[in-house]
Amino acid sequence: MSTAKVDLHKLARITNFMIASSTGAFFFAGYFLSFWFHFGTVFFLMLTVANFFYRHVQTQHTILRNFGVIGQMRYVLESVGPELRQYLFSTDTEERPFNRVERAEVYRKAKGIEGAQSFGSQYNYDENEIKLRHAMFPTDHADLEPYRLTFGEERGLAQAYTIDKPIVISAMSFGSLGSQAVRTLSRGARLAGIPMNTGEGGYPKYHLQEGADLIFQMGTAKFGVRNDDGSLNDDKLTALAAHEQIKMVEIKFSQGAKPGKGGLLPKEKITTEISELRGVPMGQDVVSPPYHVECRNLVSTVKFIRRVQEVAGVPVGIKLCVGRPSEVGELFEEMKRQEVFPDYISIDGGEGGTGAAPKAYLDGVGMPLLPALKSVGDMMVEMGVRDRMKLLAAGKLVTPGRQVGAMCLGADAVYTARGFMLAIGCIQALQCGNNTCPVGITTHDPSLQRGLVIEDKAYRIANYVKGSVKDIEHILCSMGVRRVRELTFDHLYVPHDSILSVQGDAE
Amino acid sequence: MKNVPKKSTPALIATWGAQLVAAGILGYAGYLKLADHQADIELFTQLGMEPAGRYIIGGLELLAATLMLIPQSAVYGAILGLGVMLGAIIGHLTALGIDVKLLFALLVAALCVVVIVIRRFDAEFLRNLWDHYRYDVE
Repeated sequence: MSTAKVDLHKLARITNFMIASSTGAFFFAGYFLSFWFHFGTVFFLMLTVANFFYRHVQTQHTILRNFGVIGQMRYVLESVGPELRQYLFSTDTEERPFNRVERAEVYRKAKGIEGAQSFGSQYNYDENEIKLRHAMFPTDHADLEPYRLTFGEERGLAQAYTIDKPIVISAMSFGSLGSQAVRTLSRGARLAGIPMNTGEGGYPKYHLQEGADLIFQMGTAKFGVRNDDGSLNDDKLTALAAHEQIKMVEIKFSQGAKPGKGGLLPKEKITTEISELRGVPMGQDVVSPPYHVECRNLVSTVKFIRRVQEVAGVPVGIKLCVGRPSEVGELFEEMKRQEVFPDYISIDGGEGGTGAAPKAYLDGVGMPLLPALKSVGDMMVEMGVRDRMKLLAAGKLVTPGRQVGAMCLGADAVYTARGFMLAIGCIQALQCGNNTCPVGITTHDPSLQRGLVIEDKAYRIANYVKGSVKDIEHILCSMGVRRVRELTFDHLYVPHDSILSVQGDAE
Repeated sequence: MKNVPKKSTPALIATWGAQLVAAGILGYAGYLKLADHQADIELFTQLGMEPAGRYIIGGLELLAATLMLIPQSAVYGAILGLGVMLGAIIGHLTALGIDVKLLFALLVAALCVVVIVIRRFDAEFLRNLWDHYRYDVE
């Protein structure tokens, strides 16, 4: 190439020579001209020593070994790269997991700002994305049936639990979130009139504090209700489920962030309080077992569901991320055989949620939500178990379009965790596992939590729910239906090369 | 900061001992300079830096002493203190002559090096100076 080109190797050699020789030059200037020059002598002397260490002592960083201090620039720039990309260089639709358009929509709803926008979609509208089909003759809003979903009605439970909004705060434990964030979400859930899942964090001390309805999640380690060998302690569960705020219990079999692997809480985030609430030691990662000790096959799994239902008394759901739809089918078969059905089943997409997980699991394990949900939803109808339990869905369901899309695939209600994190101020800094969350949500550091003001942010939850419900209702009207359960797969426009038209599972 | 290895108890005792002694000497020296101590005025007159240089160096010494007493900033205090002491050593070797003050400068410089070495993981640019992984390969 004939254009001017910076030879970085040569530049580094010149720099390294200049640093060393500057020391000498300043020394002579300091000696012969003025002692003031010795400020330069000291500066360059220390830089020379550091450079010597970079170049000749350390062996781990190739760039520093070859280029010296000027190579440090690479690490400095790389460390600010994510911020620069987010602030300056990424377009509005290309960031992951949530792009700026999606985040902005949640933020606007959370702040109660109307969402009308002009001049067209920012997406490539005709690309292979799934769209909702509107009807020629929309429903009158007054004809819309009020949303009601009663868990446990199939079993005629005295303690059946009814929700009147199709959105639920998904599982986030105290531990993964700081106490301030848990209280914000809990107070927001109460203001919004929706329940909140506790996550598998043991006794839900902070979740209970603000008075929200709770779904107690029992993870594979059963924090809060375990015996020492990791099996279920019936008495503890009975006592916990008797609490009036705890409306349902959820047995977590697997989770979208790390399907087939137990929960993970990095040691950076384990405080004295968390180690007490969970009954775990400090200073090491807490890794839940990958399965419930009671559940080693279909028969024992369904028996365990029945046992939890009997012990808890409240509606009991199960949550899993689908690996093989046929396995879920076999589970339904066994449920039918034993005449035992959970009160709901929640399908978690493999997209990876709030939780900390090995990167290989975030990126590569588990079926994505939409095909998984379609498989399970279709199977429930085919096997005649659709009216025996409710179906919930989770997996990046933060915007109304996608939420209604999930309902078309069979979901009765949607779970979202990250939507609510965005609503209370998450900026997608991706620091969740490091205890350094800059907006005080996934950290236990009081100096970072102080920015998260419960009084203010709890209302963002209420606003977000209100705005989302309003959009969902309007979309239902436009699609010409009167209630969520009238939605079917035919209400979706599915391009021929979409993830849903190619039947995802060739078993 | 994440992934900072825990310092052993002897290392903690050593660094805090070094920090306290160094901060004491630096703080006292800085105070004398800012308080127009006669010997310091003569010294800086000899270097041709009176009075601005005396105030700047005195200020830097007090700053280094303060930083060194706060755990989070101790390593930066030590770097600053080492810099000022290197200047003092150069001054004594080239202009002022060898006396007891040189010994103090050498002592403080050595203490600062101790603090820097023990606290090298506290600053990102320092931790790259050394190797800090152990490869357990049979």
